[in-house]
Amino acid sequence: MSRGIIIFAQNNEYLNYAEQASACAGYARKNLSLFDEICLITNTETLESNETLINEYFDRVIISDTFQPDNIRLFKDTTNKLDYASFKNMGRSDVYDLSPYDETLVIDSDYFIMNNVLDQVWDSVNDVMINCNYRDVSERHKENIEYLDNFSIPMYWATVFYFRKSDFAENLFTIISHIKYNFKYYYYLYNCSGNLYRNDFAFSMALHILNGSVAFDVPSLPINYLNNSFDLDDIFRVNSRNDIIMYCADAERVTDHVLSRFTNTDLHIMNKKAIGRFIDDFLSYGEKVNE
Amino acid sequence: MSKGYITIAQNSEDIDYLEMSYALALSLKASQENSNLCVCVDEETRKLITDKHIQAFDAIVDIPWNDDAKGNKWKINNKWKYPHMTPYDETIILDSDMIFTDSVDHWWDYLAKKDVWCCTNVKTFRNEDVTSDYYRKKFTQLNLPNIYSNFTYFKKSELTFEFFKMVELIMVHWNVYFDKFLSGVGQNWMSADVAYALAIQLLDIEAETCDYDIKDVPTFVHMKSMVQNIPENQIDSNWTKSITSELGDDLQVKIGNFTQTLPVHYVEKNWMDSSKIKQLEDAVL
Repeated sequence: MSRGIIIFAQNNEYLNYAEQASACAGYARKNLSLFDEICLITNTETLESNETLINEYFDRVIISDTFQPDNIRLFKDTTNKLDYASFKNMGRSDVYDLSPYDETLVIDSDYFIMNNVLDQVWDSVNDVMINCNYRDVSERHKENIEYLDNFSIPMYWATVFYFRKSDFAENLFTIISHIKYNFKYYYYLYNCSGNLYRNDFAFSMALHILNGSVAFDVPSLPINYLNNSFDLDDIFRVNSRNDIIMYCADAERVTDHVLSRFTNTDLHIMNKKAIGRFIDDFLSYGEKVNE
Repeated sequence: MSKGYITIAQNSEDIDYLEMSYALALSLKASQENSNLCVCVDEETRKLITDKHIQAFDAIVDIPWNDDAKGNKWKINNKWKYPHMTPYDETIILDSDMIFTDSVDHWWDYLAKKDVWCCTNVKTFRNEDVTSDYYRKKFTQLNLPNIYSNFTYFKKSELTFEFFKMVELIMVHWNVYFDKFLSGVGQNWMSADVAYALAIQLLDIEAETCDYDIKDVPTFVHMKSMVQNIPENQIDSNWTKSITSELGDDLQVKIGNFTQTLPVHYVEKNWMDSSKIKQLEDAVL
């Protein structure tokens, strides 16, 4: 049974996702040990402009040049800077067909693995594992479960998920793909606001549909919640492969920040510009291929 | 051992409880192997019974010993009479504004472990456990057993009659019991839930009649607006104005994006309309 970690990255005019994905791969390789390969799915343009770095951190690269329609989102770098840029996130639904592995762990390029708990996913009895619960490291969001809308279904986070090649997973990704191509209809059906296609929403809807539109529980990852640092937070210092100090936006006054230290726990850092500012540290603490 | 459901249908000026009971009976027939429904009526409601009701109801029983709810808009005062009205050995009390979609037949064997089993956990339309005490401040303040009377199982037993005797005393002498045991925050009007809860507390039979560890049997979806885990300022006090719902051709009830698999207490009486009843009739009769 082959086991692979897959990270998606396509650069846009705002961010070098390839760098970020390389840092993320380095952390995964440093802290996990039971996988066979770490694979990047990217497009030709991104590969050509970052080939050396990518080859240092990834065992395998898969090129997917499928057309990505305009999907413009707001990127925040704390409260100081806001930018709109294209968000090339529509390839995620193809991962079932693209993955060469029997078992796949997909992680976002801004998800930093800082312990070995995700080693436990391999050889799971579950066809799919994904988290519904989350914790805001700044405690500004009090909820443990978020809905697509207050009247809608619970949101599953496509930030990290596991699947094995199976009928259930294949059906799931077929539905996700269908939702992707018809997402405005599904946004209407599920009371979602906005025009930004989100993988979190598509995964949540697909899981809901696949489970017969009844209330259900999908098996979670070994730790059943995500540690989310939202994009109003910033990074203070990257200490090591399992130690990051964050500026967490104060719950009452988001322009103020509280220093918080995260050790031996995975962290989803949504402020991508902050990752960019510390990219050299992230890359140096991570592990390269054949190191 | 005979088994069946029981409900009281006393029409008021503006609410047709008999018609809702009829819809309930049809939904039971469509979804349950054991679909017996005994409907208890007062003199006036009895006059409205037609062949279709006789066909749908397993039994029609006159409410005995006068109508304690006479003149009241909210007719709950006869809810201590169930063990005297039921024709069954084992009975589950329901409200008429409920509908069943999937079988809960397997619950009966489980519920039979107790003489009286009160529902202590209800669900939102998303099947989440209701944790809000928005409508239950008195329960919280007085630490009353958190029971929902409209899914109460009982078999004929000494404990059952003792319990309903206590409910009778509370309901008949509500003012006395309210002043002595219930005054303070929250509601001051009588509800079956509070009366049942106080009876359990006074008789000290909570352990015998409730099981808080078991969240899924017995239970139902309770459609009071403010317990749906939706911000209070975003949902109308009448949930049907805020959340879409339908009875599908397959008789599945869909509320929001969720197909309901548990009994649904729809609360808003106009939710059950003639078109839904026609759907149920077409499927069952």
